[in-house]
Amino acid sequence: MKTRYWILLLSGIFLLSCLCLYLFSSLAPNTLTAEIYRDGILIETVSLSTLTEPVTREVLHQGMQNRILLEQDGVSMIFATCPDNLCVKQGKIKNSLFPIVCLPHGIVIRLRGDTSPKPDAIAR
Amino acid sequence: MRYRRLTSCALLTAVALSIFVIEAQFPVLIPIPGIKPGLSNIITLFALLYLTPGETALILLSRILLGSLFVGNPVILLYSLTGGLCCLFVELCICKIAPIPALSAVGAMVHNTVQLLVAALVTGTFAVFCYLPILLIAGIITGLFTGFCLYFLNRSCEKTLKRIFS
Ligand SMILES: [Zn+2]
Repeated sequence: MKTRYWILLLSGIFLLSCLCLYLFSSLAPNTLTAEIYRDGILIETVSLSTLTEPVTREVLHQGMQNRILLEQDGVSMIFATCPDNLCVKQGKIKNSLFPIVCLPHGIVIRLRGDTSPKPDAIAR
Repeated sequence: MRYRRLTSCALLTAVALSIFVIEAQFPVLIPIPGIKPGLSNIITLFALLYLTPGETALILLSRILLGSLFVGNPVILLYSLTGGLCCLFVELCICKIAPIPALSAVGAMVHNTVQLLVAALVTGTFAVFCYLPILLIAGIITGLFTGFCLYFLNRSCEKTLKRIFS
């Protein structure tokens, strides 16, 4: 009897998570603006749709170095001096679903869709 | 008798560390620390079943501190520490009412969620919560796996283990 509740609880969380994943991926717009954050502060915004060729950005801060490759169809971290290098291993992101996170350096890169107009733009 | 307990703790810490170091060699799925099979949690659960809560906490702390030395990433220490301790706390609270696999799965989910929370606070970006569904799914799968490992071990040789670790 008790076991059944646990099975219900766990499968409930499991299904809910799957549903969230599905919703996230279907809601993700065509994303074309990259935002680079350091310690939660937006330090640079790059519009990917206006790029004619791939560009790189260096983020240097207190000896911590990250090199970001910005292309028309996505963003990737190509070099980082962080100890785990997980951010580089993540490869290229192409939508707003998952940000690139370099946890040791406090760097977050996320994509934002600028194909869909913002609510206040519609109101005007 | 004291030495016997101490030896048990040391032995379990050594086993947990070995699992932890081997596990660190696995390729990563998602660039957030925490998405790992979490296999060394099996030792924490084992200790919870056979030793006192204090001894379990001691084993967990030693494993995390020594593990971060071996794997060579002190930055991740904060995440492992908060995740591990919250996981142990929740497991302690529900260990009387939950069957072992469920206990393990809940522990793994708490572990992953807390690490994500710390990551969000450190980076100041709540966008990392996009990973929550994946982390919960991973927690359930890996938690159930280690939970069932321990469940079958416990079922087949509980008497022998009780004698060794009493
Ligand atoms: Zn990194």
